[in-house]
Amino acid sequence: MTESLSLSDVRTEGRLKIVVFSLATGFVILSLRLFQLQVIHGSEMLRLAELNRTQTISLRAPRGTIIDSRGEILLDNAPSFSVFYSALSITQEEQAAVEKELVMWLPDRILLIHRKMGEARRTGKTVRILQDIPRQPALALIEKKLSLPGVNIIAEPKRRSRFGLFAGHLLGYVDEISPRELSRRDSYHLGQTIGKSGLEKVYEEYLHGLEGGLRFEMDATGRHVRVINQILPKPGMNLHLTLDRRLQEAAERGLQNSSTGRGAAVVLDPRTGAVKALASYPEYNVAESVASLLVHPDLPLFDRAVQGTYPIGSIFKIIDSAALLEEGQWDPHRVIYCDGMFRSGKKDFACWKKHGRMDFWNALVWSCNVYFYNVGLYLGPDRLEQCAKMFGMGRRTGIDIPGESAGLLPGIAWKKEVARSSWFDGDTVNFSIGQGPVLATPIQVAQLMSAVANGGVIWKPYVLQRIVSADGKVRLQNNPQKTGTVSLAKETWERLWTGLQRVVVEGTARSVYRADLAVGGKTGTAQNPHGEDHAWFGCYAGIPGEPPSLAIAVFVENGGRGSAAAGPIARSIIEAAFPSPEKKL
Amino acid sequence: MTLAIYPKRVEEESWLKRVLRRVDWTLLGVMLMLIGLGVVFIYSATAPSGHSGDYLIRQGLAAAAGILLVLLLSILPYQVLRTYSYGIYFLSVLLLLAVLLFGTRLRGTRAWLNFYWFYFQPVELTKLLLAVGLAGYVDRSLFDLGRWQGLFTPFLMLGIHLGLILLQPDFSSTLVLFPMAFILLYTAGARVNHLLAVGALGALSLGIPLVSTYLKFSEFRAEGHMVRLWIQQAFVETNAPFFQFWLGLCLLLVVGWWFLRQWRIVIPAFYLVSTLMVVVVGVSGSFMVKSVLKEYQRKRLIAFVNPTLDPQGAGYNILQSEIAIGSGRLFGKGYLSGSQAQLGFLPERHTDFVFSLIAEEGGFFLALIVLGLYFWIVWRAFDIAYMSRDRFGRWLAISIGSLFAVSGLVNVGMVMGLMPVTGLPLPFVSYGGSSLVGACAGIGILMSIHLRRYVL
Repeated sequence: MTESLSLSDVRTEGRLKIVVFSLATGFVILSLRLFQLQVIHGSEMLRLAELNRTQTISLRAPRGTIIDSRGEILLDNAPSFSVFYSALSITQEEQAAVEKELVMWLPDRILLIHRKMGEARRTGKTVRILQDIPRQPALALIEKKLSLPGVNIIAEPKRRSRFGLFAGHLLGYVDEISPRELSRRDSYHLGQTIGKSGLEKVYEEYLHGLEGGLRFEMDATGRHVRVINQILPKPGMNLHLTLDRRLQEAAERGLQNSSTGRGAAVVLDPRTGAVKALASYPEYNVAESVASLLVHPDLPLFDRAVQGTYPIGSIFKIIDSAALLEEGQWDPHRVIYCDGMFRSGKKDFACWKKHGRMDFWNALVWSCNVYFYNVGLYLGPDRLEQCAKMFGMGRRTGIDIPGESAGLLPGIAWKKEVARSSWFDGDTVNFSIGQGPVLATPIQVAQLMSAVANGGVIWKPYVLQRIVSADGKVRLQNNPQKTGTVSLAKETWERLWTGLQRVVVEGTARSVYRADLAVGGKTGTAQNPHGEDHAWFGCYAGIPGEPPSLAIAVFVENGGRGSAAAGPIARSIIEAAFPSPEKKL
Repeated sequence: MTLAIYPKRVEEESWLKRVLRRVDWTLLGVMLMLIGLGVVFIYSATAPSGHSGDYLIRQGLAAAAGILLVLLLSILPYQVLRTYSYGIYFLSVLLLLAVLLFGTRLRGTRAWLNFYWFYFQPVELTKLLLAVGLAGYVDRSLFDLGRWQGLFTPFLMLGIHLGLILLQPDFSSTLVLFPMAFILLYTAGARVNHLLAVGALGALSLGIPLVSTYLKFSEFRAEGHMVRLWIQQAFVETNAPFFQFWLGLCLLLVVGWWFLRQWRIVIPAFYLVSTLMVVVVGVSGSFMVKSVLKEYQRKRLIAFVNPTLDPQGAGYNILQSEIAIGSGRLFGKGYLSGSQAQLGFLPERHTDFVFSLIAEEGGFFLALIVLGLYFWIVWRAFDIAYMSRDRFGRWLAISIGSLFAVSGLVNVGMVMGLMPVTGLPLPFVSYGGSSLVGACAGIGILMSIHLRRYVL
């Protein structure tokens, strides 16, 4: 008994050692696991803890403002409310409740809310689910924040136009960056806004500024405990334009009220080439879907002022006149009888009216086609082409916005090459009144008028005066740039000016007549194979005794007679630039 | 000459001095250190709530009661426990029944007795009472343990406890009591293959419900073969295939056993019986899991196997705990500065996950020290068992030591993702009066055994 007992005890003691050893092994395993977690994976775990703890929200930088030449702000930023959401540590049920609450306040954005909240859940990031929500729901949601885990409402700058639908083609618009744009730009990320068209797109790198950031500490329920650090966004640089808000507005109102509501108007400063107005109508509202804009019969997305090419009609007579006066052999007092019809070869070419006996001045004043047919045949196509070339026809003006068209200036060589046929007298006849293949953009016509007004200098038109950073430093300055000269004798210019001023005083361009101003101009009515005639009006104006300060080109698509459709628009632009004394009272 | 054999020095030492010299001061010191650390970090864990004062007062009162208990139990000759061991076991069963009948349901578990100004969780005490009961049985029937029939009673005692605890339902205590009984029976001399058989039985009886739960939630869809579909059906739902499958299996076993016997391949009946018991216990366990547990509880059971199954639920807790521990790195984030704990990412940070909090704010070295202190207590318990004066003291010390050891291993293993999340406190450190008082009672008994290792 005693022996077996002691044997049993010896066994117990042996087994006790095994047990203690096993338990010690257990504790060693725990220590190793501790070492693995804290030392080997320590940094990774710390990163995860930081991710848990903090959420970063990027703050949009206010885009640079766009200011006109007189210091009026055209585009700036308004505060708007955005809703951010982070699904981290939020259960499906809570998310459903949050979604329900948001939809209750913003029922019209139900789809967006659902999609973006799903995105936040998938990616684990803080996502801007809504932007620019109305004030009332925003304030209500801020108040309810405690019952909305993961949701944050933050005020962000948003693009605001001070004048509503205004200079849309020129200024352009901004929107959230698309995945395609994102793939081409490294410094951007999803959710940022980017200039989509116009100046907003061209000067994106100056305008966008630097995004800031807000790092929050969050607790496990997704509520913000405190702000850890905040990097303030850096506002973008300001664009100072050469544009004059008054002229732009006058041009747009005029085009809006024109018979067709389609057209373009360009105002240049003949002394520098600065663009004072650049309007294309109809304008488009960014809020409308692009698809519907694309199929709209009025083509609102199309910038007629720089992209549209049209036959310029009688405006071309300015070029005829310049070439004729420079040639010097033609007696301006030579009279040609206009019976409303001109025969060249086997074809008849019409005049818009039976003018009767016309000398050169009257022909210009009353825009008699028959007289200029003769002038054209007298000068020949080469001389016309050469003179038109000097005035910048058929060549891009080089304005600092993209997508400009070059227009078309035909000639003998052109016809041989492109149309593969010879140049006939009939072509010359057509050419001399700006019909046939000749095409120009409104900006080219404005440049032409500018060159007439300043005595032959072709300036490169520019919209951007300078770019100024938020701290007041000038980053970019545009200076007038000469791209060509119309070399005509001084006498020629003076006679041309006299002629064009007579057109205003007594002829077709009477609508822009102002007793206190020196105004010269020319109307144009261009036939086109697609429908009604296009109405043109080109003029320059200035205070007498000083160099003219305005060169205007107005184009009304299918507007009919230039004097009736386009003239009043030019008139209102001049009125905007030089308010009439009586109107001032 | 005879006088020289008994030096006067020994005679002169007073009774009190002798007792004080024999007290295991290091055990007491380590216990106090762990309780102190617990209090310090319970303050940190509850600081964000703003009610840390309440928690500290409650834990402090429990600690005071615990220390008083240590004192009382040290004075009490532990042999008394042997005399009344069955009575004590009976008392523990009564306590467990009482909690099932009169208990208060908190967080889905009927585990609390409401004593007006505090809640008591009897399971924390019945663990110890079961240890006493088992030690009493083992001491009385030491020579039966070599046969498998001898294991029947202790496992019945254990089974009654487990069954009553599972009804609350509480799984964590199962993970502690089973190994405790194992270690005790193993050291007392039970045969290893018997224990392995019972272990397999227990593992399967837990494993079958786990597998069926896992299959149910893991979107596992069997397509194709009819047999596969049928087996899967048997595991997932309680329906006709379920009964067909398990009854068929039992029949197959019995018939197979009988045929083998006819062919003179004799397999002891022990194996057949234990296999059948595995099936019966497994099936009933599975049945119980399905009928008693709520879905989220079932999910929690298997989150350990596949934490991504429910990332916001049970797996989320393990993940956050691992992040808390790992992000503490070598030296910790500093007291009151653990972002995981202070911002509420760490769940149950003052109770079950207090170790994660210590590791986060105190770092690797402090966490290692806690583990070390903990192992020190375990080591002391087994050393006391080794040195104890009689066998009963040895069994008692072994069961108490294994209780501490397994609780620590399971709790720390759980917060580090090595064990399923079951909701088991870390004795001494976690907030909770019942657990603290229970653990202190264990230390008291250990002290008593140690004090009486020589004749007093």
